[in-house]
Amino acid sequence: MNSTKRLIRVSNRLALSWLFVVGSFLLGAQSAFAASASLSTSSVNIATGETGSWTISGNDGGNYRQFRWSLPSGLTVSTGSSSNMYRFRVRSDRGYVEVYTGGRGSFSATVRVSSNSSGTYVMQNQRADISLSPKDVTVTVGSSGSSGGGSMDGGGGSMDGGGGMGGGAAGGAIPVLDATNVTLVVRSINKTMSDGRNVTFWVFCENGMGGGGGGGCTLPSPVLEMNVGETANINLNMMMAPQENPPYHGHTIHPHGVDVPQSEDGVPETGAPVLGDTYTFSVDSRYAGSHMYHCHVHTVKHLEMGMYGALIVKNGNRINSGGPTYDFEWNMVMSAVDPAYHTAVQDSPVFADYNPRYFLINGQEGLSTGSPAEVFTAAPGARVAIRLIGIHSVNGTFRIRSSGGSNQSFTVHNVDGFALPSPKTVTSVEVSPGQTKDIMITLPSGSGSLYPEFSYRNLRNNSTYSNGTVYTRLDY
Amino acid sequence: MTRNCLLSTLIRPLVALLCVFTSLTIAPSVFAADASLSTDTVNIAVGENGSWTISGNDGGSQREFRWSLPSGLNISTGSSSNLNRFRVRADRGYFQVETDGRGSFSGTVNVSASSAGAYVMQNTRAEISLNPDDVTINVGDSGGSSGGGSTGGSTGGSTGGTGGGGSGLTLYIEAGSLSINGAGGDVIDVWGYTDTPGSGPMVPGPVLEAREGDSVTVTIVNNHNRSHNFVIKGVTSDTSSIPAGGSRTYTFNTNQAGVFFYRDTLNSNINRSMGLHGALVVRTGDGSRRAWSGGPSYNIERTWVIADMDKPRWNDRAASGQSVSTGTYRPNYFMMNGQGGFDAMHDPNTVLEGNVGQTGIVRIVNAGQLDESLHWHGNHFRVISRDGTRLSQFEWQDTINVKAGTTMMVLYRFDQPGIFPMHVHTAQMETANGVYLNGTATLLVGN
Repeated sequence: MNSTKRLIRVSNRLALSWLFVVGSFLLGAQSAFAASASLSTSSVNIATGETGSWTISGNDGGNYRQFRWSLPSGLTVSTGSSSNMYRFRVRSDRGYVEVYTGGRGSFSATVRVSSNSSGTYVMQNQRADISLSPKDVTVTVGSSGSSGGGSMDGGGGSMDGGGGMGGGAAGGAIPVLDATNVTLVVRSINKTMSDGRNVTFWVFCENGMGGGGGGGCTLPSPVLEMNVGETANINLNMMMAPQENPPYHGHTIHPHGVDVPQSEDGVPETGAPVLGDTYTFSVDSRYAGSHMYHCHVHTVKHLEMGMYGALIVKNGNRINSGGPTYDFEWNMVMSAVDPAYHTAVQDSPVFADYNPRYFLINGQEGLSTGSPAEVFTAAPGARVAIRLIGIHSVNGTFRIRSSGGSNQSFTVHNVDGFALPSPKTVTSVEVSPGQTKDIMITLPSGSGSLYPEFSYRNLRNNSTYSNGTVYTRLDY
Repeated sequence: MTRNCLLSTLIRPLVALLCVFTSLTIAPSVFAADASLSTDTVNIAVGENGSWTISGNDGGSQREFRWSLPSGLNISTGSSSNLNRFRVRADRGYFQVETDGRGSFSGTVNVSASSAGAYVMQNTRAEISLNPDDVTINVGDSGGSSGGGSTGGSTGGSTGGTGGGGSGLTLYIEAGSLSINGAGGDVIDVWGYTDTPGSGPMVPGPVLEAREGDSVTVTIVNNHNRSHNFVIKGVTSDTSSIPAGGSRTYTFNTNQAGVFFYRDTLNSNINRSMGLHGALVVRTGDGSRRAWSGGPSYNIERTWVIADMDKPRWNDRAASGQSVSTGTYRPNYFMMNGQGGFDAMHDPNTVLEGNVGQTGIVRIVNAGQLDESLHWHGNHFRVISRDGTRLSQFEWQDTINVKAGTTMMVLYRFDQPGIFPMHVHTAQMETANGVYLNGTATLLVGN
């Protein structure tokens, strides 16, 4: 039971709430600090034309941690002073303000807000890699001169209140990077599995992250995001990359699911360079949905080694070009691990027979509902998009169960990142190797938990592998 | 040029890289590599032997040529020089000339027939300029009439194997071997159906071809030493055994256009996995290039019979009369149309090639025991039927799971030019006993 995420109960002045802490081994050594963060306030009262601020501060436990808040329309948000940040910026094109700590312990960042129109603006927290309290900030803007709005509880139903772009709260600690301008390197990381076995992975990682040693690098590799109409510019820098000997040396990036030209396809056998390249392609509205990227060199090994991640094409917070909007977005990358593939190299009979021992969602084993691979927090009544990205090499079935174990209905909107002619409401969906499915579920109005799970199944008889069901939890 | 260059070197990534680079950016080599045939027409009488010769200069690189094998024509190899391979591949339905990369080469092909008629050896592959390319053999009645004149006969059949066509067809069950060529390959003991008795089994069996509304008769002759049967999933229901040395005739109607899976259902999947499986393709009644009458149209067609084999635990044991522990199945060979990926990426009957704007229909049978999740690069595709059920809505996809023992029809439109792989995404199934890309993999070539 070596779950990398454990629940802690945190009390504070405002509320008693369930939060989660991201485990450590992916991101470096376990810190002695209890990594947590807090906001200076949950409400800011200003008059039109005035500038107010709030501050996040805390200790990141020595690891990079990411936070995001929505940008309500009509509210002007800018960055103020900060310390020990890796990134601190307003991404108005993606609809969020991002705070990304530098992995050096104590940090702080001050967010400045103002507005020309009186009203109530909720900056909703969409992502918090470590415990955060309070989470949302209500900015109450009175007519100039008046003290404005009184008690704002900030919570409740105004999910995408103000019509902000929505944007995503990707679960867990997998970094989200901008596919329109990103440089990836390849790094080796070690991971201790639930039975104590140590397995080496190769992952793509943002250039400059954690130096050359793999610190800050994750399994799966980072999420790459881009908007409909944008052009990806993904650079693969092979400096210090772990690799095999020829003929399987080097690496590539295959944008799986996007019909890119042959020159951008990342397939060595049809001409792709393996010693570093830039992948440039654009996506139209058909692609609004989930895709993936992975190395296409000696894929029987390199895919298994961890050289994969989600490639998400966004259309605001709409699930595809014409479909409904969502309030929360959760990426789930499915993969499995056969340790023998991690040590074998070149052409070897090992690669003829696949015997997976560990089954993952977002790089984590979640062996029971009490030890979930990931906990995602959304709001009651919210519409949650779950992006299922299948990079496993066996069959698989996704379900959402209630706390009583009954299967919940959800709606499949996209297959392989393309909108279905008619969305399908189901209680389970198959995700086969190399496929993606984008589903949505509307949460009940009260608080509670649901349990999304993925069962990995044998290719011959569809029986579920031992320890083959991976559990997660969705709190609201 | 680029394509051939690539295809011929695909198994050697580095060479392929250089090859692409040079062929895209530099004019062809200083040698004008080309070849010609001594004639495009051979006139003989029944019982007489004739011949034709290919000669040329391969420019210092290995070059491959293939011609179809018209049924009823006997073909054999005559004298040759500087050839790496020169052979009749009856199991694959072609005659092969592969030069050895030493410049000048030649090969003489001997032909004869016992029935009068016109036989066209159609060129199906030429890696360098070839002129003329097809050869028509006119066989007159004995006594020397010059025979048939205009032929009109080429079937244009793109599917591998022989067309069953029409009413009466006899298949023979035989034991023999299947060669998986290239690194990781091996010779695997198999049992299979063939339309040519005594020639060994074909794996997969011949593609049986019919039209909507045909009444078809298939006779199975069991020349093997154990019981077998022949059942077309969704078409025939007679599962009774045909004893060793026996035969059985099946009559059925092909009412529905599509692709169907035929196999031996006996012996706990052992017979089917030993190679007793194949595809029935039913085309529209009027012969139009549509998936079914009134269905979506296509320009190009391919049939892919995909399969897996567990050589050490199943084939080796069953072929030698030992028991097979059917609870354990860990296949180490994964094939498309009876070939590993190294061959399937060359094979014109498997590679889907078309011009931009054209649509290919691929009729897929998964005769194996493992589900195969097939990922198509280059362009999205639409699944139009699953296991005989036509879909009312076609979804755009890039990966589709073809369940074991089921069929699927897919439309792939060439929206952009380029050479793209099509491969199974369960990576272990891309190998031949662990050798990468000699498993379930072929190419999609848009021109």
